[in-house]
Amino acid sequence: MLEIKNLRVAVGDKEILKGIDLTVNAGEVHAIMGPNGSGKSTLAHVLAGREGYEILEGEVLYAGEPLLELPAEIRARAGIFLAFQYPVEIPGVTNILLLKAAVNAVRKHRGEAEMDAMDFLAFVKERMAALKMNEDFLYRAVNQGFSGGEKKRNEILQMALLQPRLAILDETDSGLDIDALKVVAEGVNQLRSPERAFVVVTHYQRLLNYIVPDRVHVLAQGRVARSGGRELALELEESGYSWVGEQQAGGAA
Amino acid sequence: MVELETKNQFLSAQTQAHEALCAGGEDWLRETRRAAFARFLSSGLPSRRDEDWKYTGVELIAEHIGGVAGPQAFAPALDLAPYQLAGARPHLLVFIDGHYAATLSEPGSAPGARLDSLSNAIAKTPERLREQLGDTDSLRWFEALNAAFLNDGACIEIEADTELAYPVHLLFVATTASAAKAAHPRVLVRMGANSRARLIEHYVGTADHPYLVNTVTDIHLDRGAALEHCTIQQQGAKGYHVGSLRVHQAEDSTLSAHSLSLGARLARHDVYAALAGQGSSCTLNGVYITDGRQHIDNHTSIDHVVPRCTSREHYKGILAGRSRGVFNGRVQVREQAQHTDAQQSNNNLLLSREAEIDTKPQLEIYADDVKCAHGATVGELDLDAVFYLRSRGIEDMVARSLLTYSFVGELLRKVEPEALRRRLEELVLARLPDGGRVRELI
Repeated sequence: MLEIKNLRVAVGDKEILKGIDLTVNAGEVHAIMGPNGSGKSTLAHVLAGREGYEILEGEVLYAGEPLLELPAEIRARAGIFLAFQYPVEIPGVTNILLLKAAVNAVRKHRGEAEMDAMDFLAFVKERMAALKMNEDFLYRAVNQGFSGGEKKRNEILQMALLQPRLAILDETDSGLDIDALKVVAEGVNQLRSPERAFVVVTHYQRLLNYIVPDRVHVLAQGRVARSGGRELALELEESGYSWVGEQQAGGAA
Repeated sequence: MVELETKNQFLSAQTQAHEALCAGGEDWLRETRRAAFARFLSSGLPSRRDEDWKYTGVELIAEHIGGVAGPQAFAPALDLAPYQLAGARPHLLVFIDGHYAATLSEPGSAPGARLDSLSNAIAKTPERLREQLGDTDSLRWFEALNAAFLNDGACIEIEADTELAYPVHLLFVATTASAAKAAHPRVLVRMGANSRARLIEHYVGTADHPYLVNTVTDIHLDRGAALEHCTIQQQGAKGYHVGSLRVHQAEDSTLSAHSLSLGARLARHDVYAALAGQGSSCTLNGVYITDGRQHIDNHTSIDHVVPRCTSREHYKGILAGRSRGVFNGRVQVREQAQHTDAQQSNNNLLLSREAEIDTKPQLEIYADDVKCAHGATVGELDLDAVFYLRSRGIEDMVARSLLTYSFVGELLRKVEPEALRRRLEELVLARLPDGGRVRELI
């Protein structure tokens, strides 16, 4: 599904990702952990196609095809979804219209018929019920005046509607209380399937109690410092990230 | 010196045209025109040394404009459909190059309302009009020029306790015949106590040449009267538009004015609202969109003369290309105007590095127990929002146009009736790349 090979990325003069290698297969959930500034969010944004990053070296294949040349909207239509850490407020644009446009852009790309308003409404209401979301969300401006938890739920709703092949969750747990966290995790778990892969970026292991990963990778200073199974996340909870710096320092010595 | 020469040429062309106009007509009208022209000659054209015209030069107008556009013997074959307000059933008065075109108009009638052209009104009730038009002492610059060439326009009178069910649509069309010439329409509106009406001043240009439309609108709202006013400026790309809206409000009257300025090479809009009766309120909302080398200048002035009045002003601009915008919003709270509640803001979105805005909110408060706030912002498109939309499959250009539209959409949504609101929304969408695609998202 996703192959990242020796990816080096800079912002301005600063190299943020210094050679990432990562393979994510369909059906798998990979957690990317690491301290602040390790490059986790940069990786998520580069995969989703945000501009302003310079690719110094390496490549990314998505479903076997080069990904990095594609504009963000084409990636979205081809099945890549990024759940934002800070979902953006868009005054004047009603949530339901953005949802419908997004769904139809993906359907059109897949060669499927676009949904009309009635069909779409039935589809969206069903998904909202699963996420315990009130229907008045649909008619408010995108994310405007939403609480932190509501914004994150709205992201998961979008994901549930778009049915991506590769979903990237960028610190979706940040700012959520435990109840909201459970609802969000449940939304993700409902979507787990053999055809779909998840990359879950998180600072804390807490989320991984509810979204159990197949693989855990620890990023430090722009590199994958360690990879392992779920137990690696638990180990991090015990020892924190301080060892990451020590190990790197030790390696360099 | 070139500037001076151009201005002198302009003045002599005006003098010639004025002498021709003053050859006929009633005595009082001739006197009014002469007095106004004398006022104009004493002030001349404004220059950048005049504080009110600091950011807007009128050299292009002086260079390109000569005399006054005459009436056409036959109404030209014009397709007015694109400018009409389908669904609103308006009282339609059409003016061609400043002259009332009876054959193109459908003023209809309404009990308690006078919906007439100014030329007809002058012919029918000269004494009444003389009272309203005779005073030229306070005029200068373009307003004086307008009065000097006083000839036609609209006369709208609504009797007390009358509610006009349908809007009045004044459609001013500049045609090819007005090349290098000026039109000076004058609009008079008097609304009796507790009357209600909607008025649309709509300026369009169908020709690709320089011309000037120099318009003055005087509105008087009696006690408790309520007016919804809308100005739509769609002059041709080489046209010049100078417009002045002056409103006098008696106690408990309400003005709600919306302005959408899109066209012209250079446009200047002056609004003066005097809150002269206690409990009166005014709302001034405006949207301006400029591109290429356009220049649009909005000068507004709200005068809180007496206590307990409310004003709300919100102007928003979208500036692209090498265009330039000016916003100067003055709110004056006089010493006796206690318990004034005034809010003003101006927000601008710059879409290119070469676009420029000069914004100057101006609060002058001489009373001590008031609630006043003002602010101005200048910004660019939010790239986080662009990326957010693109990451949901929306194309880059559509995302940008959508965000641009929604910047002014909040003001457009406040416009009534719906047929007018839709028209304004369509006009704004038509200015944006992929505007048709944006429509599906709003």
